[in-house]
Amino acid sequence: MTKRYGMVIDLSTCVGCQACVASCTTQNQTPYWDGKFRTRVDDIVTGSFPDLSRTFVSQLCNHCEDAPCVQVCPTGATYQTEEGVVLVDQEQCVSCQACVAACQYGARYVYTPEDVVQAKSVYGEGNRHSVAHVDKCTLCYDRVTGEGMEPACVTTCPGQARIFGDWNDPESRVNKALAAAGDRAHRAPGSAIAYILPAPSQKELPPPDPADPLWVSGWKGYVQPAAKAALGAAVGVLAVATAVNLSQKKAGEGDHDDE
Amino acid sequence: MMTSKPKGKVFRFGLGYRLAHWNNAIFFLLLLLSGLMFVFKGVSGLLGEAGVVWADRIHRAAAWPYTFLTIPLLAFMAGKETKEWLKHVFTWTKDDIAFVAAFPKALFNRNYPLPAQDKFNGGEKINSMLTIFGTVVMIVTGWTMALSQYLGPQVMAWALPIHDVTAILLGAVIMGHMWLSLVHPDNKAAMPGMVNGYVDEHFAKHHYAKWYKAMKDERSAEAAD
Repeated sequence: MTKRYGMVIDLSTCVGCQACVASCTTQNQTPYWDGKFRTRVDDIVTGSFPDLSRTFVSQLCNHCEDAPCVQVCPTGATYQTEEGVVLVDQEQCVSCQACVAACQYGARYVYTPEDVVQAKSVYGEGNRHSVAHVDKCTLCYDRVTGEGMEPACVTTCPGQARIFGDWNDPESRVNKALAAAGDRAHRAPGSAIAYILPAPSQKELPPPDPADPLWVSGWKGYVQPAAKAALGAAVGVLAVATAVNLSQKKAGEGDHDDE
Repeated sequence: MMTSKPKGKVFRFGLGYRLAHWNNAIFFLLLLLSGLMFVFKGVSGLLGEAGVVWADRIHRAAAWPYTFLTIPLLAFMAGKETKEWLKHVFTWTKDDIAFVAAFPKALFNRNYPLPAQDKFNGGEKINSMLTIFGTVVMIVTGWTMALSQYLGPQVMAWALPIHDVTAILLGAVIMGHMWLSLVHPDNKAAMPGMVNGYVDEHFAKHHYAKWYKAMKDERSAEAAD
């Protein structure tokens, strides 16, 4: 069975230390000088005074099934691996940012030409980012598939609030952790990232469930197919018209009535 | 004024007007072909990484003459003709409507009678209108996307779908346009009008009877002076 890589983030364990952000930055050589990160930790306060509670909500790309960012990418630079990991082919990306607009998790940013220049001096000539492109979390795909390691953020997390694994394997750490969390477990359908809530009632803490924005579902679901059908119909009509016209004789051919 | 005209030919389009047409045609086709991969994703797979990079470069380069050359050519080299064209295109007579209504039948029957037309027939008027509006839409949405790094990613949410769908529809329009000028046995005679400016007198008389008659009347009036 193919793997479906994913992560569980235990919100009751995360202390907001930002070690995941730091390790991700160095592992993936991201442009921290522009305030751009592949993962972030939101500091969320809920309740009303004096009954307040504070939670650190770690966020990263949800690696959605049938992700809208993949649907809108005009060049096919954004794609999904068979393990469900959403990746960007840097060479094919033209930095149009359609995927940035389609993502509701704020998980994408542009690695600009200026960032590429800066990256050379910070991370060295042979760094991972040789051209401008849209950048995002890869679940450390190379580390995981190539070196058999866990993502950098998972390895680094001092409280082990981040748990990595294969959703398709019932014995994997993600499935076990989520099962052990009981009614505090929260995994939206189509999500690769699941959360363990501090309390069962705190369903507002994790990021929203995967969904296509209206402009994506309307465009890709209806308007573009209709336009393509119209184009196809035009091709068909012209093909038939060509056959008909070339087989017909013009009445009065050669009978030029010019004065 | 038309004394130097070739025998049996009728003058139809001036140099500036023709240059504007071909500037628009060449760069539109370049944009359409280089943009194919953006609409049909299989194309970018066929092109490969280097192909995508080159298609993107061509697309961005062709956008400049497409945006900034056609209108100056029309305005400064063919001002009078452009005015005449626009006036024709946005003036609809009963004969234009009758032409459009009869066109689907004529498309499959070479001998189907069509009503007498002025300099531009109803179909050409529709083609002109779709081209004018479509070009404006493509230019506005295209440059919006090209500048999205300054405008923010949210503009992509409307600019990209509109650009994409308008491109597909304009692709259908230009196919019909090219088919009529290159394939259709009775309409191919229109092509020289856009190449050297002259069409066959016989063709003009049969395809643009009102225009031909007006020209004849004008000429005999000139001769009478």
